[in-house]
Amino acid sequence: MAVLFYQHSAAFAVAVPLAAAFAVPLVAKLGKAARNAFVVLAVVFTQIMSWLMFQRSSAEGGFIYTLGASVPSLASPAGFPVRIVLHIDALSAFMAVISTTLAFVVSVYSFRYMKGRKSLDKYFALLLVMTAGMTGLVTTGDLFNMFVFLELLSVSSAGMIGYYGKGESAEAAFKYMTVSSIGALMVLFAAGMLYSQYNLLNIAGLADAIQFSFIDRIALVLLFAAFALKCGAVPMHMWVSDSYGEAPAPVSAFLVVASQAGLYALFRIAFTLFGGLSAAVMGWGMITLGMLSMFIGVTMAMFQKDIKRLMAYHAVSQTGYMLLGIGVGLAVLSSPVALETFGISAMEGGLFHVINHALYKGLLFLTAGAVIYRAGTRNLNNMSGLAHSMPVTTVLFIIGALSIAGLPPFNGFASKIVIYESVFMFNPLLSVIAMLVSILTLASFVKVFYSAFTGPADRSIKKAGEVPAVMWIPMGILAVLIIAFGLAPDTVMNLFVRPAVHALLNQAGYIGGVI
Amino acid sequence: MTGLLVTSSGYWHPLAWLAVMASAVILALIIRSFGNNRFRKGTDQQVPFYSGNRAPEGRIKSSNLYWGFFTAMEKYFRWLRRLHTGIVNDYVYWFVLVMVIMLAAVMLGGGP
Repeated sequence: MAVLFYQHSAAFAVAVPLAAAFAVPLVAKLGKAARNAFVVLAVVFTQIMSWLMFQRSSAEGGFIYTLGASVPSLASPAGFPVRIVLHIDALSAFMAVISTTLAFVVSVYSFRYMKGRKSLDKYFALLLVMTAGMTGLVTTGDLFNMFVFLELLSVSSAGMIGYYGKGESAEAAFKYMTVSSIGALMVLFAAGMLYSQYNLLNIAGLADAIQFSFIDRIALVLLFAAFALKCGAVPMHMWVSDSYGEAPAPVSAFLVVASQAGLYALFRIAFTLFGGLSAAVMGWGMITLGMLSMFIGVTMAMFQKDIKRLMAYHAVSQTGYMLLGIGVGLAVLSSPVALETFGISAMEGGLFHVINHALYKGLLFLTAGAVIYRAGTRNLNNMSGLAHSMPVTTVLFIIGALSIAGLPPFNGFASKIVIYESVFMFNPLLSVIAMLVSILTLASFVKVFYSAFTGPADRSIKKAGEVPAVMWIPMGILAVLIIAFGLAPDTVMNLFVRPAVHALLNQAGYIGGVI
Repeated sequence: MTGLLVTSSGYWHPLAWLAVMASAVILALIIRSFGNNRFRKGTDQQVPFYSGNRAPEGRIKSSNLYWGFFTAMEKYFRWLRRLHTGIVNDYVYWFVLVMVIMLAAVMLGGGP
């Protein structure tokens, strides 16, 4: 049985959450407890499959899974099988582990946070579809299915953003759907362009065949812009504050990793599909978007009075660090000396920040949810003294805030110092701006801490007390991971990040996996 | 699993940092123990010092924090707010603009 799961982990990681999503309304007929247990089981199973994928990818240096083939590892040497190919390397497995970890935390947190709301069967069904969309997007080996999983993720995310179904929530969902559809359309358009030239949709096959013709360049730009939009890079970030702000708090936490799936696709396109073609231009494009995201994101966050919109702008800002780190690696890709001296290190910092960001931003959105759950408002002006009645949430918020601000010894510092140092060797000014952004981030979270947690306690909130354990335990899991990653950054770096960076740089290995 | 993270121009050791911080805290506590212990609860010693005047009631609202910073950077923040219209058409315009700029950059300067 274990061998079966190990061998088919890639298929299970996509198929199980998808099938479970459709089964949720049926299981819900047995009662809420059965539904909740079923959702947790499905998510835990998906997470185990992600870990198995990770383990197998580490052992075999990446593998492919051909859906519907008599042998899962089947790939025709003469051409490509007309089937869906999942291609898992260290980067895919890394992203799948992050997505499913957040899926577990968010689903458990949602049981209490969403209690009493209508249509929870649909809520959990969409949560599972989002999970399937993410695992599919990060494991797919062909461009068309990348579009399909992107759409799956977008449609389910839009449903979740508009969960409250009226007013600004519905408007945010509409905006998200509009923007996502246009982005996805560009992906489809680019896939069509490449298919028309090479008769291929398989990423490895395309990477091998690509000529960098005029049409290829257009396809590159379309894909680049679409996935940059999807990850919320400035100036295409405006949907982020609407969506994260209006979605239920656990959904906002999950949307962070949904955006990171877009980031994964952006990196995969730039490094693997186009193999660093036009690397300097694309690298600088990524760096520019990263710098804009960092600075505009944090300054927009500073004057927000809605706690969730504030955190949404910080999510934009933190995405900038990842774009900066990976962008520097891309910009120096054609220079082996620069790549070796600081490029790889910058990429490691960028990818390390991806996992760190998922943890601390997930935690911060969940603490924001806990605050809203008790205070009944998102407006920081109307909050005061929550630390008196919510000591656990306060401590968890402080951990998340210090981590996002890049203070030692938390995980945010570990990835940021790698980015600062390596980017400094590339261009000192970029590094200085990145550090300035961290200072502004700290200032912004000091404002949240002061407004929400300090001062005299509101009598009604004091009476309500701490959030239930089923809400703070998921937050606690993220906090423990934040501290652990901060105290053992070398382990995370060696286990997850370095193999993922190596996979990203190893285009020949990716192509060789199929051909 | 030593905690030692090697970076491109140095290293970061969180456990060593924690040890230094713990030493600093212990040292601070030792120095503090030599201090004058005349603190009494329930006296004026607990009232915040406000230049000898009575401290005003109420709290500074979140929106009023960093007032000086926002005032000094007023033009920048006004420009920033103007960009964020909340209109979905504008979101798409920005996307198109990025595509156009990237396309121009790749066509003009982006050889293989």
